[in-house]
Amino acid sequence: MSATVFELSLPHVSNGLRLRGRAATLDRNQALDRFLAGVERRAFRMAQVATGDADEAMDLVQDAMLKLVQRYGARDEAEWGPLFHTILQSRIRDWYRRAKVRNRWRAWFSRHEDETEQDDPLESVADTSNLLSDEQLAQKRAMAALDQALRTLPLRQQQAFVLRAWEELDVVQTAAAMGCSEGSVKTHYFRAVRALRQLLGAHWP
Amino acid sequence: MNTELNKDDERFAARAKRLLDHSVEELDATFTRRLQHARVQALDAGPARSRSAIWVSGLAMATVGALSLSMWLMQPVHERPHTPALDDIELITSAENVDLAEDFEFYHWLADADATG
Repeated sequence: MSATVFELSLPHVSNGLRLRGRAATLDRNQALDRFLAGVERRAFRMAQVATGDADEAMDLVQDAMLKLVQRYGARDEAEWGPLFHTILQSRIRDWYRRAKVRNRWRAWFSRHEDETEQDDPLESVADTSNLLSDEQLAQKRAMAALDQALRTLPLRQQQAFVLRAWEELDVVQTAAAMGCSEGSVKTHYFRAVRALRQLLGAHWP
Repeated sequence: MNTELNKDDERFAARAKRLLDHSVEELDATFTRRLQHARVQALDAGPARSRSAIWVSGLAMATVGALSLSMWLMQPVHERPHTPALDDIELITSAENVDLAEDFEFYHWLADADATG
């Protein structure tokens, strides 16, 4: 009732406030759009490396985007980056837990089947040698090998590596995103780098 | 445990970063479109109402309901207008009784006549 009285007595002020509110919402939406456009492809690649599946990765990123907008869109813009990574890494951890259970059942049902050979990472690279230069081809192969090596790491090491080395989050932000202590982040990251160097070794193209 | 990276480790990490960055630039157009679509959907969904807001609106509705109920219960009970009993209605509507009522004047005169005698 007081709002109605206010609107009746000062309509121009009321309209001004309403317009300012709408403009603020529009600004925020545009800022969120810019932020998400800036991180979505990297987030997708992170999830793809973690899951090894593009569709699963897409679902995880979509979930993370939705949660950020719904729950934390009103927060300060500077907080969106760490929050988004926290949400995404949490989604990836959940996916890992589910996959672990699924794989356990699958292994139980197929324990009598012959063991299949491990895929050669280089086999998964599309044969585009006719279209690419030697340098581009080497880069593609190096990326495929890195993807494969990252997938062999324990999840915590993988997360520490992508957040520290690629996303360049500091130790505190990485610890928040991973939900662990700063000391654990340092240990996981160190082990990840050493393990990757060992896995890729001198043969890394 | 020493967790400090040496120069080779740092060079390795820097090369990995360049490769990962490059892989993002080379991302398939199909995935890029799907990501854009996912972003638009997320933005269209808008902010969710916070739990506190849901609690506040629920509490407000409950308060309004309780107030309405108490006001309804506390309103003064108006005396119902006296409704004529069924017998009275019969008395009014019966033709015989109307005749009797018309004879009241005669009975009064008779009583007065007896008294004066």
